[in-house]
Formats: sequence, C-alpha cells, structure tokens
Amino acid sequence: MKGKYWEIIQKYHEGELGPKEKETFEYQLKHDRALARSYREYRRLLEVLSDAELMAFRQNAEELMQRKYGKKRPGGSRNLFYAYWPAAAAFIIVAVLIFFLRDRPGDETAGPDPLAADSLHPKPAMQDTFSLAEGVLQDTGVTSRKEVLASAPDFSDPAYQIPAIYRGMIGNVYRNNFFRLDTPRDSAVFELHDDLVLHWESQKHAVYLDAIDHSGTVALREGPCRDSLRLPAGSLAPGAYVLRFHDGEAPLGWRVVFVLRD
Amino acid sequence: MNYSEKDIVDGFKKQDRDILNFVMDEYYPFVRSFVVKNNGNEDDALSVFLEGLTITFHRLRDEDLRLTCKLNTFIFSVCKNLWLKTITYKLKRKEILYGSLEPFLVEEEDQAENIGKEELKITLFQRHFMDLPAICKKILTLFLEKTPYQEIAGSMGMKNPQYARKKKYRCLQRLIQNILKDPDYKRLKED
Repeated sequence: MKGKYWEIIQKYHEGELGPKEKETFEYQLKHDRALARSYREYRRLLEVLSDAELMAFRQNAEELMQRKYGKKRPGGSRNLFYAYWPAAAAFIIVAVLIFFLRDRPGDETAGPDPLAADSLHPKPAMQDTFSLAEGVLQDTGVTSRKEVLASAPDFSDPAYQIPAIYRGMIGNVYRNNFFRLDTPRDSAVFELHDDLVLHWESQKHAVYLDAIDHSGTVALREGPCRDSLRLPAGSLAPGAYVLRFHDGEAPLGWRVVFVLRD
Repeated sequence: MNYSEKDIVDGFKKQDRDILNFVMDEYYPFVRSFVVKNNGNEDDALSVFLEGLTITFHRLRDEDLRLTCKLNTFIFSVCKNLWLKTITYKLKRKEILYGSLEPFLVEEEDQAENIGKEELKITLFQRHFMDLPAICKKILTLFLEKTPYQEIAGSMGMKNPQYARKKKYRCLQRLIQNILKDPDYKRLKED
C-alpha cells in the first residue's frame, strides 16, 4: 500500500471516477505493479475490517483485557510514547496544574450533590443562575467565544439560563469511570426540528441521561442505554439544558446544549 | 470453574465471555512469563497475547483447524512464534543483543515461519482500527456495512450525507496513514 495511490484507489473503489478517469485507472492497474499491489492491499484492508465476527472477537478480547489488567493494549504509537515519555509526562503535569489552578469563580464544592439536586433539594432561585454565554466560556474552554455568540440564542430569556449549581460540572468527566462523549460537542445548538443524537464510550453498560432545564428540573430522563441515544425532535422545549450522564448512582459526564425556537 | 477441552474450544469459537475470561486467566500467565523472560515487558506480553488469540480464533474458524494439542498449547505456540518474529527483527536491527536471549529461543527461530504474513496483517489492520477514535470506528463500521451516507449522517447526528462522506474519507485516510507508518507494516513488506 502506497500513500500516494490511496486517494485515487478509494475513488475508484467507490465508483466516484468518471468514465475517462476510470478507464485510465484500469489501464494503470494492469501495467503499474505498485498500484496493483496497493489496490490489492486496500481491498484486503476493507475485507479484514468487514469481517464482523473477527472484529467482534478482537473487540471482546480487548475489552476483557482492559477490564482484567486495568490498562488498554498499548497502541501503534507506543514506541513514540516511550521515546518521548519525559516530554509527555511534563506536558501532562503542566496541563493538570493549569486545570486545577485556573480561576474558577463560584466554587460549588459546598453546594448540594448535583446528581440529587433535582429531587432532594429546592430548585435554585433565578438569581442564582448565570449567563451561559459567560459560564460556558469560562468553564469548558472547549468552545470559543466567537463560536458561541455567533450561534447563541437570546440569553436574556430565562429559558437559556442554567442553574449555578451545575456551572462547575459542565464538561466534567470522572476519572474513576471512563466516559467519553463523542457527540454532541459542548454547547452545541439544535433547531427545534432536529433530532438530538448522542454517542459516547463508557465502561458502564447502562448509562442514563437526564436533561436538566433552566429551573433545575429534570425535563427528560432516558436510559438505560449502552453507547448511544436519539432524542426525537420536539423531545426538549426551546431552552438551555444541562445533560447529565450517570449510571443510576454516580454522574459520568456533563454537557450543555441549546435548543432554539423555530 | 472446570471446563473440558471441548467446552473450551467450542466456547472460544463462539466467543463465549466466560470461556474467554477463563482463557485469559489461565493461559496469559504463561505467555507473560515467556515474553518477560525474553527481552519483553508487560505491554509486549499483552499485545502478543491479544494477537495470538486473534490468530488462533481466525485459524480455528477459517481453516477449520483440528487441534492435535490442547488449546492452551496452541495459543502459547502462536504467541511464542509471534514474539520470536519480533525478537528476530530487533536482533537484525541491533535493538537487542544476541547474548541477552535465552538459548532455546534462538534455536527455535525457524518455527516463527508458522505464522504467515496474511495473519500478521490481519492483526495489524485490526490493531490500527481499534486505535481510531470512537467516532471514526463507528462511521467506518457503518460504511463497511454498506450503509447509505444519508443514513450514516442521520444516525451520527451529522448535517448531511456530504459531511458523512468527508468524515469517512478522513477516517479511512487516518487509518491508512497509521498503517503505513507502522514499523511492523514496513517489516512485513521487507520480509
């Protein structure tokens, strides 16, 4: 497999070449040994990855191994990691220090348990809420100010405020329970007629989702789900929602999404 | 739990979770011990064991292999040969010293030929696929299942089919580039 060929091979394989290009490619395939070898290799790759049973075996074995030995199989880049581990370690330490030492206004540690907040504690008063445009930008570091403001709804509307007790949670994941949310990205904006599709990776087989609205009420609860969930359009009224993922006992991760008015 | 040899082989072929658990608990320590004694570490042992299991599964399924020995002996033999291949390569590149190897390991070098290039490629392709981000794995799986881009976009929450196609293209490109950069892949081409 040669890097320079892969693009044209992919196009040919998917039938994206025009008749003339296709003819030229097929001629080259007959006369260029390197190209022919690369094409065979590309097809072999797809064949291997299409073997659902073999892939499932590998996946199962990796998962079991990770559970048993507490670490993921070292990936293809392991040699690079070992070569550069001092630099990587220094980088991680600096990143962790920045994360913990940065200015985080309104420390929530003394507040109620956010997982139980909606049922065990009174709803926070509206004066305890804060502007999402400020809060998300301060707390996540994921979305740029420009990006949020460009697509932001009217933040003066109470429905687009989120309770202060959840502010520090946005973007958090917990180290003891591996959980990674692939979609949606933090502070994603959805139209009212959009389906909301969520994908995640987690060690937990049963994951629940709570969508918490501006008043701190769980507006929607779904689950248990393995690794994805689709909320049909209209499941959530226009407003800002804190998405809380949990396993029924402890939180796994947090996100904020906006649902726009039509 | 006591399993008969037949239970173990049948369960292994069916990917029975309990049997896989049993295989890992009972067989891995031997492989680990062998790899660690021969210039490897825990990570090497885990990689070799995982690839050994995959090759064993592949042979039992595709070649309808009739085992003339116990499954644990077979898996150990595959893992040993896999590690021999790695060691031989490291010796050639002078990454390790000949004198640091145990004598029996060097004597049995020719047995490494038992594992073909094709089998090594399968495990290498799989390894790189598994290392992709979850979103790439998902989109490529849907693509390989011949799911229309329209549906991929819908189920992945993407804007439109064009975006799904572009994303798949990038994921496949990333996978191929990672494979091409892998020293093990280069080694397979050299052999």
